[in-house]
Amino acid sequence: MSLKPENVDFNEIWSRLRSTIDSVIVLSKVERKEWSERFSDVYKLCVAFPEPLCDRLYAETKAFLNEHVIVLNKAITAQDSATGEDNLLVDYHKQWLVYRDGVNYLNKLYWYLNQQHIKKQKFSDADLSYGCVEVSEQKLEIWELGLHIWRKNMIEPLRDNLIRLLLAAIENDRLGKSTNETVVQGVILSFVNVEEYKKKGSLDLYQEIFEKPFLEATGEYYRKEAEMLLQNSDCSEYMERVLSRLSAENVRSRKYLHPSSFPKVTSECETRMIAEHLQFLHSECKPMVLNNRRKDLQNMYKLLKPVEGGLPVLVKEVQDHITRIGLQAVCNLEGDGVPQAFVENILKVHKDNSNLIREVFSNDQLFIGALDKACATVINHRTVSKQPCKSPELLARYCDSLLKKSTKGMNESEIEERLSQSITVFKYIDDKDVFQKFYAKMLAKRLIHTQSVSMDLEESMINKLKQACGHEFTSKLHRMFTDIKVSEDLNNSFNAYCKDMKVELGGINFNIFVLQAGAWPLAQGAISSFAIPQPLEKCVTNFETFYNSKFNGRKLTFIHHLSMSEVKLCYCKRTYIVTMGTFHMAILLLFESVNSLTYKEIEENTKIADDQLIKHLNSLVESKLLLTSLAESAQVTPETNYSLNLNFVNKRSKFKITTVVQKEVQQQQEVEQTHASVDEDRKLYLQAAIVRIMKARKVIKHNSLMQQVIHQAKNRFTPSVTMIKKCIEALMEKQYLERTPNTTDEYSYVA
Amino acid sequence: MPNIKLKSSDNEIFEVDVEIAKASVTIKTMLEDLGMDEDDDEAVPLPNVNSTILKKVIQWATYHKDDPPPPEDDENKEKRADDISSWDADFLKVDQGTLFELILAANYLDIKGLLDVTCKTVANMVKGKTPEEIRKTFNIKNDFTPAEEEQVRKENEWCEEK
Amino acid sequence: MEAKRHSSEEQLCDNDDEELCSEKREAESSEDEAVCDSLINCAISKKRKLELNKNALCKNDSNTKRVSLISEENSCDNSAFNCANVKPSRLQEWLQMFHNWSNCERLAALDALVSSEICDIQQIRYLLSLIEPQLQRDFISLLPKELSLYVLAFLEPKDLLKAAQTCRYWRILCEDNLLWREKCLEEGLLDDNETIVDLFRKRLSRTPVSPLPSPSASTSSTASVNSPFVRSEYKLAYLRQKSIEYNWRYGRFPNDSETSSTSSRKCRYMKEILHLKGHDDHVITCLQFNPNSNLIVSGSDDNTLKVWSSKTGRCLRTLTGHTGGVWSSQLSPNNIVISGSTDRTLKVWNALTGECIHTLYGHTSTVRCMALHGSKVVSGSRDATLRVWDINTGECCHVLVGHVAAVRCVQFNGKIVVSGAYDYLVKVWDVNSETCLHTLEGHTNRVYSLQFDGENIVSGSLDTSIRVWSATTGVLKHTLIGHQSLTSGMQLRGSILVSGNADSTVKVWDINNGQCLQTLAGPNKHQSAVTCLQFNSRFVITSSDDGTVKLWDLRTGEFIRNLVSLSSGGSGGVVWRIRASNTKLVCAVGSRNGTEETKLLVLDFDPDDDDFMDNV
Repeated sequence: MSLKPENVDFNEIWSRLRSTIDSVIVLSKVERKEWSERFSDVYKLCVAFPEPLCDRLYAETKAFLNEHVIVLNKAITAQDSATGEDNLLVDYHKQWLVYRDGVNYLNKLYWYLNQQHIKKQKFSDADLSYGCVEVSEQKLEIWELGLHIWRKNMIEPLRDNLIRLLLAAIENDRLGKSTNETVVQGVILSFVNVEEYKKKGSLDLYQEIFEKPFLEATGEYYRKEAEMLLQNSDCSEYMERVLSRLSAENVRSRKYLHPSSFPKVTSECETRMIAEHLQFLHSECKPMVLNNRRKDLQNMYKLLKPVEGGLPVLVKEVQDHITRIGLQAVCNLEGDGVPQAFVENILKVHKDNSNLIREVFSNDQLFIGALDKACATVINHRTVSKQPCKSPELLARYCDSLLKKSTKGMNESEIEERLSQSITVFKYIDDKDVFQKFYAKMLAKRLIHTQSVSMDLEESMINKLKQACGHEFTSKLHRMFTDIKVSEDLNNSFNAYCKDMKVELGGINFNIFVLQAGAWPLAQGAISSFAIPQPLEKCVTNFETFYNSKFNGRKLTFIHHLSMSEVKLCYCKRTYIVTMGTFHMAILLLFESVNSLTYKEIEENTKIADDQLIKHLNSLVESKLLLTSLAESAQVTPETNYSLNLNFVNKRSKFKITTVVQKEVQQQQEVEQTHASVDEDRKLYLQAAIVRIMKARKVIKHNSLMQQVIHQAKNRFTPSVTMIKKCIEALMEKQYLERTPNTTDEYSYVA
Repeated sequence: MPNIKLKSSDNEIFEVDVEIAKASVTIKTMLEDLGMDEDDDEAVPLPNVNSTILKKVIQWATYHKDDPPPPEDDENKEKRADDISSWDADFLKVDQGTLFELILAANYLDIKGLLDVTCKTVANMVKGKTPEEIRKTFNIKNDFTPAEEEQVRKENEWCEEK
Repeated sequence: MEAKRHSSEEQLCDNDDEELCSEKREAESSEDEAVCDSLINCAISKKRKLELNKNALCKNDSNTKRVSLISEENSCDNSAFNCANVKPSRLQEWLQMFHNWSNCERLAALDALVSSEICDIQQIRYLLSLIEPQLQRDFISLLPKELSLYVLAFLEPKDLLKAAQTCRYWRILCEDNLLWREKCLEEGLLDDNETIVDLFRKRLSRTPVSPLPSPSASTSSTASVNSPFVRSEYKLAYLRQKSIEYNWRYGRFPNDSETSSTSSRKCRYMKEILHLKGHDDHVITCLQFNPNSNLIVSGSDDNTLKVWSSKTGRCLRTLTGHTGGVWSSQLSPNNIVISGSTDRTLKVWNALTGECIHTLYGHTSTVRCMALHGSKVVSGSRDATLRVWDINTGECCHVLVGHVAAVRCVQFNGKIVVSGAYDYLVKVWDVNSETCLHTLEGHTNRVYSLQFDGENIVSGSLDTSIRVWSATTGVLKHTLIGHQSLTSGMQLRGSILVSGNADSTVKVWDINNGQCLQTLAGPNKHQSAVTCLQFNSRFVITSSDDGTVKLWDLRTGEFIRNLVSLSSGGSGGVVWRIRASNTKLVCAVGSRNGTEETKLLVLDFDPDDDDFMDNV
């Protein structure tokens, strides 16, 4: 024998081969010599000269396998009709295992045929997709061929009986009766294994002959089961039982089925026991939420989650509930600590419900969304619908109270912690621009009066706001903050300048903040006229010279009513150091040479506007530094006399005369002013947005314009439709845009 | 490592390390036979490989026993014939008859590395030769009629020769 | 001379003798090895194989000598031994005696015959000529077919063509379709659809469903010597492509003085260059070419577009209607033309009928660029916006607002629009939501050119850099540095990018690592700004303001030749745009100063004369 292509007698070789594969296919013992020599027989046929005999070999082998399986099938059927069909599954399974291994051995023996003649004829996917070849032309590798024949001659004829028996076996398993698991699983998976070689649709057979009827039977079983359970249990029990049925069926799937069926079985069960009873389950949601029945809620969540349309009702109930308790917590707050109570109550509601959502609803996004919606509703709720919402102001005041120096005795990290929490509230606020206005005002006061607990905290809070709302939102706050920092350097270099130039400031310790006019919420209109007291003049003029030399072309406006001074009183029994406003100081300095002055004299000398002067005089009188002839609650006249209280006594040697204490009414005014200025800003913002949009689109429908404007403003505030309309009208007046002629709801841009 | 016995067509027995023998996918497959005992001492018969060739095959497989497994054929990758190692080149300095039988054996025994290197050697014998030179190299008779020859020459013209 | 030759011949003979002797000595000195070899040699002779092997044991005590086999040219003149009719007396007896000997005895006898003085050198040579063929094997004919094909697969196409001419059987195997399909794959001929359509167009005209033949149809593993000879379609395609490439490199045009004077190779003339005159002395601003329908569309600042046949060179129709210059255009596979103009409109035309199907209003300034995908076209305008239109209905589906200066270039894949503008920005848009997904900031000057493959965005700018970005993340992947000026045109294929620059060079980059692979420059470089380029797996074609179109080797970066060289080059003649198919090159040329008439040139490199497709 040689490996060269030779002229061979097919029948002679085939008869040898045939007798070997007879044994192989039933797994009988084959001698090594025989087994190994058949390899060369297969080879010889495949390379036969002058024409390879592989096609004939293939055809004969196919015929052999066909016949073999038909015989096996007959044997199984005959046995069953003799002994009753109980053994069909067992017999089938036994034969299948032998055949499957036999075919595998056969495949090894036919290695050369597979390798050289069949695999090369298999067409690549790409060629198949071009549709050049009929799939049926394709030859199968021997094991594929074997499996194909098994399907055709064994599974197809037995199909109905096999499926009936399999379904019955699984039903038994559900009822707790014993089942031969290995056989049932083996038979079911044989439907998969027999098609496994196919690249496409390898599960088709399994799905068609087994999975489909199985799912139908399963559905029917659990439909009845659900009806039965509903009759005998309340909702809590029903949910518990359904969950346990689901998990049991899941285990059963893994015992018998192909993994691709697992989700289908679960979904079938869910349909029958949950989806078909949604109305009942939904009706139970409200009481569960109201009574905070966590275990039930958790079960309810588990049941409803996988079912289409299951969760929304539960989500809605939760959202309504949070809204309800949230409103309860923040309405009707009274007294001093309203900002604190407001923020802290909201945070508590938020925290409680976050925990609930985490523990009961697995942090499901739907519920987190519900919490967000509820919190937004609560926080942006208006007690009086015509008035602006109070929340932005309250939150700003809350932050102010945290950041202002006080004796509350919190350390920095505690304050930091609370500031971080306040961002949670901030995120829900619709009118963020209102908050910004209030916050800026309070920040300005803290910075100017150096009342901040810590500059680090101030900065960190601004950064938090930046993170939450963007750079643009905090740019002014940042500028305020840097102004203060830059001023420090400025003072240092001014002092150095004074030293260099040998300028004497008259022993006055002079410190100044230079603030950018645009960034600070300081009403310039309120600046009163003022004659700078002589001792201070040097400081002011020198600083102006210094500043102009450094920054050409900048104009300095002194805001005296916000300046503070420390004055040492040396005319009393003790020496006192008093912190007071500049106006206070100017008034007191007049008493350097005299002990008594009339209102008129004071006014002439200080040039302070009437209303301011009266306020300041009153506070000096209240502090007992000055005495007045005026009776309480009487009107000041130019002749009203003020005299220095030479017998002034105070327990502390260092104290402060507070600037005019703001009255309730004034605070209210300030709030209104703030809101008014916010409205102004908004109008400008909206007009700018409208112009931007019109410039790009040229022509636009009314509704589309409204939508785009609202979209652009979203991050800062929720504009009212009336306001946008007003802005559009204003712009039409200014001839930026016009109604498109002959239309009612379209605008065009006027370039 | 355990040895196994291989029996050539002329009944010579070769004792070979199992791992080396398994370089041949065919032998590896044969060893997975039915009801084979673990320490079966029976030789694997190779009735179509003679001892001379089997000896050469074993020599090759022994030298290459630590080679990494050959890469899968990638049809987009250019097949190269000029990458034969010097050991293999020396090993294949044999007459055409031996080379011929080695190819058949490498193919039947399914030793991809050996098959590649032997086929490449043949390809290299064709490379760069005129049809007449090819005929001379392999002792081939020109069985074309003159008309056919002209036809064949035309249909196999390389563009640069037109 | 004569004498010298003679003596050298003698020397040659002497050398031969010496060689034989030395071989023999060598054989004697290492006897074991020699025996071994002789065994192998004998083993081939199948008749005595078993006998030989049985006697293998006696090898050590035999004093056999090796028969030297020298695979040299048989120098022996066989006609000298033309003794076919001579029958020596008692030859049978002699052979019988030999037959009766054992192997060792036979070997000894042969040894004695050859190495003793009995045979002269001529007879030894004759012996050799008898033995040699005995040891030769026609592998291809004798091996199983699958193995023969495996051997042939290791051959290069050139060698396969030679092998096919050996004998009938080899010819059949060398025509194997699978074999040639592999060669086509190796050459990358099946990589892009345009090439496939071109190479298999014969087949396509028969069975339009499937451009690629099934590789197993007519494969030789099923065909036999007796069945009729069928030519491999893959082989034909391969040869056609090689011919086309050869023509691009060396083909000459009878009416072109430039290309016909340079080559030293065998002269291969192609069809004459077509000159398509039109658009008077105006500039051709945009050019489109559909090789399948043989349509060329040129757009000009004379407010018109012209539709031409690339086969006949005839102007089929002029598309009039725009009231401003045409500056951008697109041509769909089904011959719909979309044009954009300074008159602020786009127009949709049927190139076959000349009908203007839609006029698209909306932009408020010049429409400068556009990109077509399916029935959606995206236009970019100097009004800083982009608009997405449906060319079937004429509707404006989307407006993309965000750039703050003129949009100069745009790319579109059906979902994502990428735009480059004079605001130095590249923007990535989601069309359906009209949102800007990413703004790619980094260029420090106007963005002029873009490429987008679904994931990578490549942008070319006046700032001299080219930047590669990720479309999904918006992250800058690489900055390609090297050009000196404005990158006006680019093409991206796989990871290979070719960029043409106003600095008169062209660069080849790998965008995966940002490396510059080649710079197409050198002594034959363009003398002025590069205006347009196109490349495939082998060639780069570039055009320039210097009035030339150049062909380069993509892999080596070598200059191959000038495909076009205007005589007015350098004095005003320029090449504005080029478009190429696998076999054709279309160039829009002209000048601004009247030295060169505005026209299109069509160069055809197709080696086949027959034309199958005639849609026009």
